[in-house]
Amino acid sequence: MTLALQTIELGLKVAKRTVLEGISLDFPTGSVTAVIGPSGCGKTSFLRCLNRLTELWPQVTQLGQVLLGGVDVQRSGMPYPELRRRVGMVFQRPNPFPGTVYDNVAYGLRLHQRPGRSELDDRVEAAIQRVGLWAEVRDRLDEDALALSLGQQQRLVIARALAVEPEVLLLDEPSSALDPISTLRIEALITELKNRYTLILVTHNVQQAARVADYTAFLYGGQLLEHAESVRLFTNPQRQETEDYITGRYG
Amino acid sequence: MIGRSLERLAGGALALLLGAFALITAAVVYQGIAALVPPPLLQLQLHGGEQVNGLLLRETETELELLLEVRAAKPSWRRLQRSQIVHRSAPESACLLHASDGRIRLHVDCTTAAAAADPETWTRSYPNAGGTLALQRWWQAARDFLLAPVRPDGQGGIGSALVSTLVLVLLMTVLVVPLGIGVALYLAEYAQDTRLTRALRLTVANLAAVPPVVFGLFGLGLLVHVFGSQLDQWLFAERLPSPTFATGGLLWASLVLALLTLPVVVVACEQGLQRVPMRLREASLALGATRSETVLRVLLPAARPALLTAFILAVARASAEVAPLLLVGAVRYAARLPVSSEAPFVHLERPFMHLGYRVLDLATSSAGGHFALQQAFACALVLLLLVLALNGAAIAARFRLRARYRDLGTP
Repeated sequence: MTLALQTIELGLKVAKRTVLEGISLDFPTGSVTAVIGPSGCGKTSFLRCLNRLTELWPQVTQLGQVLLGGVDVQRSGMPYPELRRRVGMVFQRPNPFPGTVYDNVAYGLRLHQRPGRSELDDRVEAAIQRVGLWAEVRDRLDEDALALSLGQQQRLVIARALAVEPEVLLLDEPSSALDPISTLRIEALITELKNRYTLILVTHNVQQAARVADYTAFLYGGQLLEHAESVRLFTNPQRQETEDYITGRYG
Repeated sequence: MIGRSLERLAGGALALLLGAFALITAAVVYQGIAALVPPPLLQLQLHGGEQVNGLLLRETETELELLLEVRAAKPSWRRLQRSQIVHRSAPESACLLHASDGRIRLHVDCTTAAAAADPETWTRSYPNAGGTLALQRWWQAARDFLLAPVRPDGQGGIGSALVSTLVLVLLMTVLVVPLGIGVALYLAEYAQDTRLTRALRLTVANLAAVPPVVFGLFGLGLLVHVFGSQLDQWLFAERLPSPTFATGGLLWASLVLALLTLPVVVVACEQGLQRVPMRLREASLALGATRSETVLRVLLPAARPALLTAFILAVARASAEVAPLLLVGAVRYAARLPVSSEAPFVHLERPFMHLGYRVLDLATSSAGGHFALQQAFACALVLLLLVLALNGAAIAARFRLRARYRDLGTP
């Protein structure tokens, strides 16, 4: 079993306050790992450590190692844009750029490869196909992306992230702003995508983690309390806090 | 109870503001248009048999003020008490002869031999005529006001001043927009939030409160006298001692205006950039864009409405300024326009005429009297229309962009 991504003793401090501490997690290639935990436990911060979006926050210090394909990101001096091309991210609220559907998906491609027009067309179509949105937007490629429904926008930004062919895709509560039907679509999409990509899903929704994730990690107060195959974690939690959380006693 | 009276007080303040604004606009429009319509030519019979002909410039309850003629730039006036007048008429055939140097002669009846003896080259108009002749008269006056060549005493058409003002404001925009966006980008995107940055930001904002004439003084002292002389020594040595850039001119004036409007532009641009939602920045960075790619491809396009607003503010502010320009290049009379069809097309070193200065000049000149004041209002009206046209274009562009970015929502 190869590891697409691995963290070793990952920690995060914001203005001397410890947000995350000693998190060592393995993400096997082609798997879905859910990260769950109560509000404020550091789930989103953890996700942002993986593609270094933490640099946008003032006064942060990131500790420990992140290994992408076995290579230490920090020590190898990999530039952040390169890291972020290989580790894509989808946010809580759909955030398409103001502009057409086509331009949104082409954004990353234009940054990195600058392909010709026909190749660009092909790759934009392929990316939209992969998220199952092609039938809905094939005639609307020149329309404003903000005119799509929220659910469509979220799938569009997933397509935008996939267009640059990342190895890992980070999903930060991707369905929390969506209606139930759009949520089901996103979950089905996650299951489809895991053959090609390694997915890390932060979610507030315990049932969602149980439905789509192969592995689940439980964060509590900035620490990793439990990490196991989802089936085992949800049927037989080892820690009292985990059990309380998944049975809905707090959160 | 207190809430109710506060509401009335606030409403009253608003009404006062709107009223004052309406009054100013109405005065400028009314007086400005009146200046273009020549006053009637009156034929007055006085007690004692004397007859007086003149253009009616002002009329009050008790007296009349008449312009009798203008001889070699010297107008002659006459003030009459109403009680002196026996009979008053405005004959249709009366005409006014206008020479290109400003001389004016009046005739009660244009068909007489005396009138026919006047030079052919003088413009003839019929101030009392009705119908199409009246329209013609108005058209003629408006055309003269705009297009007549300007004379060395500063009188004449305002065309030169209008074109120069437009060129000045456009040049100022070309200078201030990149500079302002640059400073705003640095403050909004690159600068860390330190005490130094905060002090810098405060300084920029406070520059807006420096009296404009101080900027003019700065322009004269540093730009004209130091940079200008240096430039002359390097590039135009053969023309010395007559100065090229070491005297007020278009370049220095537009630079002074650019510096003057810079704080406004910086503050407006920075606020616009900060209003671009964080999630758009994150989306771009998360796709592997560098910081500068994000600025160029996402941030600046999304902030375009705000950048246009900054441009509108700058233009409004710059077209209203006169004081600093008096020190760095605005003149009463410039023989040549600062633009021409010969290379380099825009002549940065030339002094220029300015609508604002023209208003000041006309309103304070003693020669023209009431007539000159009306002309000043007409100038002010043209200046207002110019600002309105420039801003109108920018506002239209902003509306179109707004429609496109309406769904961006809050940061």
